[in-house]
Formats: sequence, structure tokens, C-alpha cells
Amino acid sequence: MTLELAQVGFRYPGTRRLVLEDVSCAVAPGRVTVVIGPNAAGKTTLVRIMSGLLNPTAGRALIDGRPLRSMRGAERAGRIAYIAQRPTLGAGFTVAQTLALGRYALGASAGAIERALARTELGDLSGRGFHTLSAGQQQRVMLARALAQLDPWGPRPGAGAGKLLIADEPTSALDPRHAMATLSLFRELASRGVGVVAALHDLTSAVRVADRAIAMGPGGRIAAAGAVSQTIVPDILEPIYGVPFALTATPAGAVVTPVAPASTTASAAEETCR
Amino acid sequence: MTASLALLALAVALRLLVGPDGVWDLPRDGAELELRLLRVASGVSVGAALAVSGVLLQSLLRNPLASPAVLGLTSGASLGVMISIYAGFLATGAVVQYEPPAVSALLGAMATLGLVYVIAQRRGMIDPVTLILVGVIVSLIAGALTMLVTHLLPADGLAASVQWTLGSLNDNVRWLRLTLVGAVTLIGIGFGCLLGPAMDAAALSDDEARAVGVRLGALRITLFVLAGTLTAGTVLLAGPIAFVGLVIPHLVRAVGGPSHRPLVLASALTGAGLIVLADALVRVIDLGSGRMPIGVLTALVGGPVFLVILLRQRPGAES
Repeated sequence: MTLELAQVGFRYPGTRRLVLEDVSCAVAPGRVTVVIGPNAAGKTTLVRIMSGLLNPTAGRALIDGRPLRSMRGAERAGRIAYIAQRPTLGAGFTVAQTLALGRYALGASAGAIERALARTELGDLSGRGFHTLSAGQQQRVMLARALAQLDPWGPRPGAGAGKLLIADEPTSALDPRHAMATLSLFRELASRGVGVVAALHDLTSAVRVADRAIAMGPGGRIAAAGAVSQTIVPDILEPIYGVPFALTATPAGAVVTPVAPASTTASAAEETCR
Repeated sequence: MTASLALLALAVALRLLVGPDGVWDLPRDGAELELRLLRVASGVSVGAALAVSGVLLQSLLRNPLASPAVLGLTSGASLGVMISIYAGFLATGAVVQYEPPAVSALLGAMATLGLVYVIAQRRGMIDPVTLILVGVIVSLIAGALTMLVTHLLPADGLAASVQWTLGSLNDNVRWLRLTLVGAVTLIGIGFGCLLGPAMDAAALSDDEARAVGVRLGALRITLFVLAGTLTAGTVLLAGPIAFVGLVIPHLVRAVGGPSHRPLVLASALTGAGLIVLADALVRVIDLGSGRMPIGVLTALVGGPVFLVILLRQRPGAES
């Protein structure tokens, strides 16, 4: 399964601003690809187009050479799962019922929900109401719902092959332990042949989890795309975000941090507070 | 579900035992039995349709406060009916009561729901509070227009029209019309059950619902048309009856959970039971000024319940 965007442009109906312009990139199976960039750079629009939820207003979105828009309903649901930025659900659903929604078009699959609950460590919460959970727990439930949909650990050999998980800021509400667990899960998914795409703000997480990165720059254009080692680097990050960055190798892995200008250091802030 | 069935059975039994004077007795002859059966069938159809319409609208608009009355459908359908009665008066010089063309209620309901939806949405997104406010305002305007049309009718048609706009089951309804509306109600319940899993999945965000395979556009149009048609049917049989479509889905959801297939079925049974029970009660309650319209009773009971639900929806309120 290869997802390919060729010279994609997009503007929302009734607006003049091009959210994406001339975007070309590819997502390969068995790889983790991160989409990075500042706020309003078009990351969410890009991942929605990759999921087949938006049709580009220019260019083409292809999956295995055929238009992504031609894949609908159960066929698309069986191959592409999408996790939105904010967990949203009507009232009254339990965690287990929420996971079952992932199987809507595909029908029940023996053990799919239990496998997803186990992988996300949500087994103990399966009977709890979704709306009684914290924002972080809700985010994990939506990840589990996407896993129940794709069922990459299913009994069929190669159950993850040819599938794509696309997540928009999937760790934004998670504590460090669960953020790490989620990123590890992405690596496991990739090892089972699933193509993973995640829009991330945390660049340290991005550099540690991803094989490839798509860096969105101003004007909805791709500033750089390719291997993480060549993309998430200070020289590329600084013009995108407008602040200098430091990439530091540590025993725990690479750390990417913005280098704050002198006027915004802690001591200066303390001075201001006094 | 069992409780809903029990309620309906109890309500039907009670209603069949209440005579025309509000006295408990058995039907004296076949004609009276037929009249009571007709009112039971009418109440079942109206209650089931209102409750299911509420379920469909709450799913369509992802808003637990949506209902045919709150969103102005009932007022719109009533306005459509009154306009058709007035048009009949202009054409013939006489007020033809209770047999307005069905299409007038349907058009009124659809036009109102469409208007509320268009005004309340912004780039396809609907703010729940805005929606309720717009629904209430459109409902008030439709109510005012209904009063205007009523005012234009001659005195002999006025009393009957006022009674009709308060919402009450109609003794003069013909079996043919009742059968047609009942069939539409059954079809609506059937579609509601069929679409249950899709409505469940549509409780996710729009993007996620589509990603799990819901054809959201087709689902919303179907729910829109079904809710409007069901409401129009109830208005044809009983005039505007408020709060049943709001309160029943809430009560059933609180007991049976959010899954839409059982929710549709249990709401239909509970709504039917409630209207038939209300019809029995208004026969027994004698205020010395004629029979109380069912719409008054449901509004008196449903209004405070709606207020409680609204207060519990407020940010910071315990749920």
C-alpha cells in the first residue's frame, strides 16, 4: 500500500486562502511518517486529505495508483483509520461500545476489541462511560477505537499489511508515560506493515518515533520531506517556526528544543514579574 | 424494552376502559369500542412517531436537546395545516376541519427544519445553544403566523381551530388517514432501527464517523426527511404536541443506554404508552370546562422535565 499526493492544493469552500499548495509526498507501508509545522501550517488539512476525508481542490491523492476518493465506505474503513485531534462522542457510550464503533462498516471481528483494549492498557476501563474519562484517557480510547478498526494483531497472517493509521496530534493530552507508550505502539504497528502518519508538535517525540518527516512551512507548502535525520534539523526548523533550534544527542535519544531568545529566558521573566 | 411494553399495555387497557364521560366502564356497543380503539391507535401512532422523531433529530443534530417541538417542526407543520385550512376557506367559503391535505403538514415541517438548520449552521458546524435559540425563535414566528391565520378564519371555524392548535387526539379522524399515518410511523420506526448502527457511529466526530464508513451526507438527509415526515403525521392526527419527542428519548437513553436500535424501539413503545395514558388521564380529569387537550398535559409535565435536562447540560453541572 502506497499513498501518494501529487501537487495537491486545497482551499476550504467559500474561502480564498490556499491552505495547501503544490504538496507532493508519499507514505510507505511499514514506516512511521510525522507531519510537523507551526500552527495553521495545514497539517490537519494534509492528514485529512491523506485519510480520504477531503478531496484536494488541485492535484491528485492516490492509493496504490488509484484515486483515493474512489475508495469509500467499508473498503476505506478496512484500510485507513483516522484519529481526530479532539476526541468527540455523543453521550452515554462506554469505552467498549466506543471501540465497537470502529467496526461499524466491517462487522464484528472476534477479539478485535479485546486486542485493542489490551494494546492500549484500557482493559480496566472498558465498562466506564467515555465522558467520565479524562482528556488523555479519551485520547487513548480513540486510538484503541482505530486499532479495533484496523485490527493489525488479528489472527490472519499479515493482518496489518496494506493498512494505514493516520492520527492528528495523538499525544497532545497524554502524560509522558502514555505518550511514550503510544509512540512505541506506532513503531510496533509499523513493524507489522501498517503505515503510520502522525501530525505532531513535540519534535523530540517526532525525531524519536519517525522514519520520515514532512515539514510544513508557511503558505501551506512543504518546506522539507524525507528521512527524519535530514528533515528535523535546526537549519530546516528555524525558518519554519521562526525560532532557532538545538538538536542534542543524549543517552536517552535525540532531544530537539527551541532556543529561546535572551529576552524570554526565565531570569528575564522573573525580572518582569517583580 | 419490557418496561416500555408493560407501560403501553397498561395504557391501552386503561384507555379502553374510560368512557366518553370520563367514567370507568366497558364500551356499551361496537361503535363505542371502535371509537376507543380509534383513539388508542391514534395515540399509539402519535406517541411513537413523536418519540422516534426526537431520537432521529437528536442523532442528526448531535444534540440531546433537539426535538420536533423545540426545533420548530411541530409549529411549522401546524402552520402548514392552518394555511391549508385557510386556503380551503378562501376557495369554498367554509372551514373544512381535520382533513387538511397531508402534504401541507409535511411541507410546513420540512420548511421549518430546513430554515432552522440553515440559520443555525456555520460552515456546516452547528452550535447546540444557537440551534436551540434559532429553533425557539422560528417556532415562535411560526406560532404567531398560525395565530394570524386563525384570526382570519370566521368565528365558527375559530373555536375548533384553537382547540386543534392546543394538541389533542381527534375523534373525527378517518381510519384511512389513521392507517396511512400509522403505516408511515411503522416505516419510520423500521428505518430508525435499520439506521441504528449508523446513528451510533455518527456520534463520533464527522471525520471519524466517515473514516469508520458512515455515509454521513446520505444518513443526515434520510434522518432529516424521516423526522419531518413523522412529525407531520403526528400534527395531522393530533395537532402540535410538545415535549414527548424531547423527554422520551432522554428517559429511555438513561435506562437503556445510547445504542440507537433499541433506543428507537423502546422510545416508540414508551412514547405510544405515554400518549395513550395521557389520553386516558385527560378524560378522567374534569376541570369543568371540557376535556383538557393532551398537548396541555404533556407541556405541563414535559416543560419542567425539559428545564431539568437543560440545567444538567450546563457546563459544570454534574451529569
